[in-house]
Amino acid sequence: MDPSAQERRRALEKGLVCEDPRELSPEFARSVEGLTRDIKDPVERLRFLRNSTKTIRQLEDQIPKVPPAARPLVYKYLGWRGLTMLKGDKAAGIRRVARGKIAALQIGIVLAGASLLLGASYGTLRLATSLGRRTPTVEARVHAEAPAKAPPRSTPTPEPEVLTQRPNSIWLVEQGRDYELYSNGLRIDTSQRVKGTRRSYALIDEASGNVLPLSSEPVGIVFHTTESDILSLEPENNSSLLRNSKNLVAYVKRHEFYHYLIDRFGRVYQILNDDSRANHAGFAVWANAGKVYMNLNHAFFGVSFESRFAPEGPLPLTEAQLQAGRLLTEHLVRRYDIDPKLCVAHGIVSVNPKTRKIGHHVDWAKNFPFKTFGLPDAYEVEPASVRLFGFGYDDDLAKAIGEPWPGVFKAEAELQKDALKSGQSTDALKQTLTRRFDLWFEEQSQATKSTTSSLITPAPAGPGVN
Amino acid sequence: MDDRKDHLWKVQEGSEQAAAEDPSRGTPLGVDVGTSKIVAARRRTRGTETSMQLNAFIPVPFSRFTETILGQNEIPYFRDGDELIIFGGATERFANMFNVETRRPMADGLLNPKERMGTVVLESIMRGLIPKAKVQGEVLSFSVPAASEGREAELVYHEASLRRFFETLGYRAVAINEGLAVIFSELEDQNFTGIGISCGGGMCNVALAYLSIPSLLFGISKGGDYIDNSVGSVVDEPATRIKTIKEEKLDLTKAPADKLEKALHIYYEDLVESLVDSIRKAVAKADKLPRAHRPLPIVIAGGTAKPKGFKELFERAMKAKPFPVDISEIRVAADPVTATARGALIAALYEK
Ligand SMILES: Nc1ncnc2c1ncn2[C@@H]1O[C@H](COP(=O)(O)OP(=O)(O)O)[C@@H](O)[C@H]1O
Ligand SMILES: [Mg+2]
Ligand SMILES: [Zn+2]
Repeated sequence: MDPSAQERRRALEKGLVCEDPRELSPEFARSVEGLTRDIKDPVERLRFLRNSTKTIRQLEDQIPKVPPAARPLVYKYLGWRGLTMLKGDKAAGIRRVARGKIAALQIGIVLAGASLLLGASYGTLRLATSLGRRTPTVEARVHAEAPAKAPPRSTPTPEPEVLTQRPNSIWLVEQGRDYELYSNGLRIDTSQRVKGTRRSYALIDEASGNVLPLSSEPVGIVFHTTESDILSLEPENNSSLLRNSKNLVAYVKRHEFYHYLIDRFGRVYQILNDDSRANHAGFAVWANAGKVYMNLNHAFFGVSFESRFAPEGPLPLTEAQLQAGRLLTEHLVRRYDIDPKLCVAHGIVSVNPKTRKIGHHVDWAKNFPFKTFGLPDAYEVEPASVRLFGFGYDDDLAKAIGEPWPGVFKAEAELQKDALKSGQSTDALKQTLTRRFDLWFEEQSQATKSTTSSLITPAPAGPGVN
Repeated sequence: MDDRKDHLWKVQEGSEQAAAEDPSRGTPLGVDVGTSKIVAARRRTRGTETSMQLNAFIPVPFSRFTETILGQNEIPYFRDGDELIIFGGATERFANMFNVETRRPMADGLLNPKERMGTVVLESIMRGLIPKAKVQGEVLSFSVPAASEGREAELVYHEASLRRFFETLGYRAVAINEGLAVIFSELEDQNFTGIGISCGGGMCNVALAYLSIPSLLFGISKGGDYIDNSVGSVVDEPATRIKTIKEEKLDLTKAPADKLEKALHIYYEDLVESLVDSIRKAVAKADKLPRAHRPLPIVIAGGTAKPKGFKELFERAMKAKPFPVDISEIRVAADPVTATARGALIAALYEK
């Protein structure tokens, strides 16, 4: 990295966010400042300003395309939207008023049309979809514009080269009474391993809606955190750390929660053997290559890190856990020929079928280091829950993780387009889709039930498993 | 001065909007790691609490007797071989008594590479102020100066050492520029738009932000210590003694009565002029400043801004030449010594 870039990066970090100091338009500043009067708490005020400016930055390329007369409305919209994101009881009034105002901002804003929606930044998608809900006229006023250019990205610093070797294949090097050692360095403690109910599950073909023949192969991985008490890694905590780990293993085993558990010291425990199901992601949906997986308990491995999900934070993992997690993933992916696109995080597959909301569990709804694990970024993928089944999200999710991950916005934009194409409102389309969810969920669970006597109904989503 | 008071968390009244205390969720902390003082701030039900400790030490020869006296008087110290290292608030009194200089873990805003005991003492001082995190990963925001030319590498080292230390206490440590911290604590009413300056012992740090987003961050390696050292060499007295006199008596609105006071005035003027000059230059040079939608306020914090007449001195220097942006007001923070720490606390709560 050249010194000035490095300097800039550092300067920005100390500004607490990775903002760039490009021009904020005075109109925007004025409009946002007009809304801060009632925010009494400095932290909330800061949050509001940061959120608003962040969004405007994401929209920067698009703003010139908004007709000048409509720009103040966009700014106002962004401001009010920022207010809806304030936290805390004291801001409830402000949030309510802001929501009302947004509804009242009846739309003269026309962003360039559907073609633009595709290539645009996710901030735009968000704006376009939110606006679009109340703007049946969007389609009618499309301007023919070239697709938005992707903003130039600064190239990341190349990592220094390290002279290490990795085996080309992974084999079992040694097996002891209670451990297995693999050639990539993975060591699995098998002393607690038990046999559970055999995997057996039905998938749905996305195109036809048909139930496919039963299968018993593991196809993917869902990453979890245990959401248990986490102590800092210090010698004086040693006995407590050990105790926590031991109790956790026992607890997970008792409830058959996950296949693998990685404790704070990076020890990998196998709890359920690879042929068994685990109760880790019952109410969860994912789709890939035209196949829809509903209830991931059978088809997916549950791999859980002894950790507590911290949405704003850095990786809540120890170095040892990270390393162990990577090795385990590598091993499972190779051994079962798992499609990396089926390696996902609990937070992005979890749903609440009753409320039709995504993100029922939020572990790893943010910040799972897919890249470090050599996996494609599942946060960028349109989640089936939204795209195929019209699930939504509410303030609770925002409270837990802030904005949903980018795939959600993409999926919403696609839905929006579908709705426009078929001439129905997005809400109507979503209703149809959620009915489809009920149907498909029932079908696959019947198909699964008919062959196994075990309890396949997913455990009620509760505090039990994360 | 009552040294023990330094350890007490003092509650600042008047901030009605305090977060309810919830010990199970831990408490984010703001820490100002300054050349001459370490200040910590946290939120309590009734407002913001701050506590501070002098960032200085003095070694004295070890003897059981001395150790007992220190212990009885609750003066913080630790033993290093055949020396006792006294640190914190009591240091200056001892230095003045023995007519020697205090030693400092930091110099010019950063860890002092020439001070062998620097890191150990700094960590002991901070341990006295900062409890271990109740919740692993609790956010702690600490102030760092802006990178000044030629000292980038030192800054990296400084920041990394502090971060590592706070992490051993169980925190997730986030650095915040000192000038920006002043904007966070002092310019809330202005939506964090304006110029924040912290005039400390080793440095003056300046930030210019619009709607909380910094557009310009820089510092000059001149501060209160520069005044103490310069005056000290003119009147041939230890800088520590000058510092004591400066803090107790200096009034910049009054004509100086003796040589020492005259020297204090001269170097104060010198400091403020170089500061204003460098701000003027930096603002004029910055090509990325947003178009301001209104005149900007300037707020000054830090111990060096405390003497009576400082604001007027600053205003005079501003008026001496045209300034590249419109300024709405110039003021000194109500509690200049804790402003950085309080701003860092806001950053920590925001990061939470
Ligand atoms: N009342 C005072 N009058 C003049 N200078 C003061 C006063 N109180 C503190 N100072 C000076 O302020 C400087 C320390 O300011 P502070 O903001 O605590 O600095 P730092 O950030 O370097 O720790 C020292 O040079 C000290 O002498
Ligand atoms: Mg300071
Ligand atoms: Zn989970």
